[in-house]
Amino acid sequence: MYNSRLEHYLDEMERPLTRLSAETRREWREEARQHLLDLVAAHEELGASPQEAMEAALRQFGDARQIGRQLQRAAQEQTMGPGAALALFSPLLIAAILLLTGCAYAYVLSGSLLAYTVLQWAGVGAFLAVPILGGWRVGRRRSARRLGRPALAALALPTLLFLPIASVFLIPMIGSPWQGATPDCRWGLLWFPMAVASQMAASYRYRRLKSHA
Amino acid sequence: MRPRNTELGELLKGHTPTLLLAVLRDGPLHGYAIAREIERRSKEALRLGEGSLYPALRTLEQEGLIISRWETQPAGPARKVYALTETGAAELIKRMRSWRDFVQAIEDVIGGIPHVQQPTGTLSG
Repeated sequence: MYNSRLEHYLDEMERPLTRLSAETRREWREEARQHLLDLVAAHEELGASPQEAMEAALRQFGDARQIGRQLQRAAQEQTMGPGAALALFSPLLIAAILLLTGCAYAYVLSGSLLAYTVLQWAGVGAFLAVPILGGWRVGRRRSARRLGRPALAALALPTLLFLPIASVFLIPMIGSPWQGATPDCRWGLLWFPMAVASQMAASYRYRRLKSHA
Repeated sequence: MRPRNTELGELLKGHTPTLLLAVLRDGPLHGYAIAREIERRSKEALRLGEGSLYPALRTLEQEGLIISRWETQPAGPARKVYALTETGAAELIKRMRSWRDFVQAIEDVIGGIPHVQQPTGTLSG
């Protein structure tokens, strides 16, 4: 009874913490549990029965759902959010699409339709997987402060590498950035300014978060 | 923050982080000890809704003003303790100055507590 009341309270508090990792939730739960047990012990020392002491401790700690929501808000401020992190990963996305479609076009020139199809689908896979997996993981689990300059540089690297690679290999192969490009390659080229804009937005948000630190 | 007196509560809105930094100035403490220290220093005038202390601590940590670590205890389970960083100490001084300027300004406006002569004796019909 005594323990189940405590666990139920902690469950209630944990319910809104959807944006915290399992490890952070477990740590937070442990921290709250110890605080509550200290309060219970203090009330028992003052003469309360175990049940009375538990109820008094829970009252003193506050409304479980409200505390959970406050923690969730603090966590939202702390992490970049999946949207911003997704935008940060868009250089990877553009590099993956354009390089793979460029390679695919090269295979078309070489006459291998199978290679073209495989690489085209690999491009679509990268289109979906890179921002979704990467953005979700970074936005959810990494605080903005921990995503320091080395990580940002690593994220920007594919874009930086893409430009010389494209100028040396891709553009000569397709003649010009637009004429003679395959349709998916055109989509890739259209995507490029959007990717740059979203990355700039993400970098701005990151700097703003950092400036609060 | 849930002080005994609701007017005090209004005045204190937004100052919980300053109180936390001030309490941590004297050394690292865990959450329960922070709550008790605020109570002790305020002579029990300020009683925390103690769970709300943790979101404030989390925000301060994110801002780099405090750090936390799990410490093993001689007896009992490990506890998460919070400590002031150098940035936090500098921020505390800044906030203390702002608070004192604010209090001084309010005092300058409202002046001292007027001495009100209490009526003595009772009316008799």
